[in-house]
Amino acid sequence: MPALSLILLLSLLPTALPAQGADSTASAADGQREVRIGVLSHGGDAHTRDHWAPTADYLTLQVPGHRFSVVPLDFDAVEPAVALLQMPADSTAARAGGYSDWTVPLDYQSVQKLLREEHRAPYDEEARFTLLDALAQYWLAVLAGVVALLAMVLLTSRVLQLNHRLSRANTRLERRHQLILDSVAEGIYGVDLNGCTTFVNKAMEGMSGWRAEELIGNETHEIIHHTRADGEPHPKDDCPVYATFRDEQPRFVDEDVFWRRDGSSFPVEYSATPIRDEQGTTIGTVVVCRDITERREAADRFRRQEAEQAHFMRLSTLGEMASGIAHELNQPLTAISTNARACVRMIDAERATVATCLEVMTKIADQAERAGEVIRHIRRFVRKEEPEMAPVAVADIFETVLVLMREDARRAGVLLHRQVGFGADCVMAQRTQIEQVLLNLVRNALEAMSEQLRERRVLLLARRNGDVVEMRIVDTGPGLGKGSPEHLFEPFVTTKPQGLGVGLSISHGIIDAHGGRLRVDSTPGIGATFFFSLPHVDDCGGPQDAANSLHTGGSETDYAGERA
Amino acid sequence: MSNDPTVFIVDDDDEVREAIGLLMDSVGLAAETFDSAWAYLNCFDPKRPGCLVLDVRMRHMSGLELQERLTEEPLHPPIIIITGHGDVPMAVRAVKNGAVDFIEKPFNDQALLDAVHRALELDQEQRGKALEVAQVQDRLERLTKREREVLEQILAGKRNKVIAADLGISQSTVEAHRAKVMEKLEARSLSELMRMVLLVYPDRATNAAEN
Ligand SMILES: Nc1ncnc2c1ncn2[C@@H]1O[C@H](COP(=O)(O)OP(=O)(O)OP(=O)(O)O)[C@@H](O)[C@H]1O
Ligand SMILES: [Mg+2]
Repeated sequence: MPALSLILLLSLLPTALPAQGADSTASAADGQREVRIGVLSHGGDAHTRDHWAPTADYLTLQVPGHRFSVVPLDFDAVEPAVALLQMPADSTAARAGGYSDWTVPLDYQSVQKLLREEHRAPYDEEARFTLLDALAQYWLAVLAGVVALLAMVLLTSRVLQLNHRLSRANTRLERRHQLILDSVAEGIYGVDLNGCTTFVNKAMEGMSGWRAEELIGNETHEIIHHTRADGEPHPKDDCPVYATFRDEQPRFVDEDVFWRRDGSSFPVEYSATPIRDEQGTTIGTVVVCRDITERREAADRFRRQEAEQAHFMRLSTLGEMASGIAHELNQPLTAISTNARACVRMIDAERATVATCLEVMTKIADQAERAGEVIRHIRRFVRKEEPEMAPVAVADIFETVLVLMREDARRAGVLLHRQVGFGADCVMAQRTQIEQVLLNLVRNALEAMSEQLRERRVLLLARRNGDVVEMRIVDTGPGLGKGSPEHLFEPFVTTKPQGLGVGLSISHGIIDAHGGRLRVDSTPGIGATFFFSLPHVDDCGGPQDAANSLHTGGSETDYAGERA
Repeated sequence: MSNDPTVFIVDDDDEVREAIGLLMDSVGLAAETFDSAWAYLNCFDPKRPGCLVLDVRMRHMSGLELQERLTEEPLHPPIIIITGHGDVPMAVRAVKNGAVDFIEKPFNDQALLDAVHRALELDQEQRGKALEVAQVQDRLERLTKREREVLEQILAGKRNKVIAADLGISQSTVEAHRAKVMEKLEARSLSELMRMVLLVYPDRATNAAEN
């Protein structure tokens, strides 16, 4: 069955019919295509067929290979179709249907196609339907398309531009980061969760001698942190940098060493801080380190200077006691030489018995030991290298003070006592420093009492008080003058014409360095007591002869007059 | 009490004191030791001959103080000062106050023994002189008031005539007194008389010299 498409045709201009749309898809058995023309039938089907038959015949003649036939159409059925047609306002149909202002699309596909295939007007001249025509025909769509395309191009270029700008900004930011990192004097590097280096700044490169490329991607620990200061290996499991990303706690290490490329090491302090990403998960550690060689050297220099100054002070203290100490040596020397000479004379005169000689020899030996003891105390007191804090026997300290001050006390007519209380045998101290303090305090006491008629005594006392041993230097002098006693601890405060006023301030500094505080109690007309505390230790380490000779809880008075 | 001289040793250092005692013993000198100035003063007996070896620096009473006390006595053993280091100025003061010697510790034994021997000789000399003085004083006691007046005038270098006029007595009476004075003082010449009186009154020396 040849298909009949809907063909709408209006008899506007019967001669110009081919210009009107018609479907020509039907084909006839005789090889001719059948074209049916639908015609609106106003005056009944027969009338319409009759009326249009000549036209169909004409078309059949005009268009070879096609046979045109007329199909009257029910008006009502065609109504919507007509609505789609362009009808001149004065056409019969328009008038009849009241469609005077309707339009008909010229481009009805099938008709157009047919006309084109048959090269009929308006397709009798092919070239006449050009792009321009198309444009004219589809200009809205084309315009919309072009606009859309333009918009898309613009948008794309804008996106590209933004992208480019972003990446430029990114590199700039990265460069700025690097610049900032590089401008910092501290060495900075980061490691990931495997301990592999992710970034390194200039200072770190300069400090370690390693180049960033050599560190990045490798485990920095194995390169710069493999060995401890004491030469022991430093396993990475113990490394604070690793510990930091493991427990996510920032930490600070104030003493460690890093190793340079040339195999040398340098002292560092560093902080290790966990690095977190946007989600807050730790992704590594950043290490900020500082080469503390110079600071260490400065500190060493300072310590050395301090030690030197302390040594100088001890020498000057000793200088002030020189005459007393010389006397302290003179006595045994005199006894030795005199005894020896006497013995020789007796032997010469054949008046010597073996018993006398033995007795004299023993005395000589004792005296030589006494002299040796004095020298031992002096030597240790003025020794240059500053011994570190160590456990010391309080009795030993007192002994040195007594040996060095005995003669001065004798000259000042002062009785020196000492007493080491139960459990107060050993303290943690820098021995010579504490001796220096006691010498200063005892000398002050002697000087304070030199004019007085009342009894003159100085008591060195050590008493256990919990974790500390309290040292007291008690005198029976006039006590302190008016004014705050703290004032006396300032340097160059003195009431003595020959005094420098440094004794107490030095002592104060030394006790400070031992973590204590030098304090004073004073009652005018009764006496002054200077006291301070030192940390107690149980054991002095090794036998201490002086400690053994002076029993705990015992008291000993040095009746300087009787003995020396 | 024996009349043998004793070396008194005062030093508050036991060892030194005993060593010095032993040294004295070794040369056969009697020695007594004291550990303080007070101990010595307690036992002090002016009649005992000897010398004093004294440590200048001691507790309670120094050697210098002891020396001062002793100079108040008419007769005391000569003092040898022994000094320790730095005590030289004190020793010098002691010497100015009449100490016969000072020796620095540690000393040479011979130096100390020499000093001790010198001091003992001096003591003997002093004791002899003191004896003489005592005798002269004894004799002077025997003079009457008038005889003493005449003696004064003679010592002033005046002639008999002037003395007679001054005292308002006759020249022959002056001569008689003068003879009596010479006799009582056991002086054989005027010069001997002068020496005796000067022994007792050393301050008269200037007047006598003018004669
Ligand atoms: N035990 C004391 N009794 C009375 N006054 C004292 C006593 N100790 C110190 N002072 C007073 O404190 C002052 C300061 O003492 P400090 O030891 O600092 O200096 P100095 O003894 O005068 O001189 P330097 O010790 O330098 O020779 C003394 O001048 C004295 O007036
Ligand atoms: Mg002082």
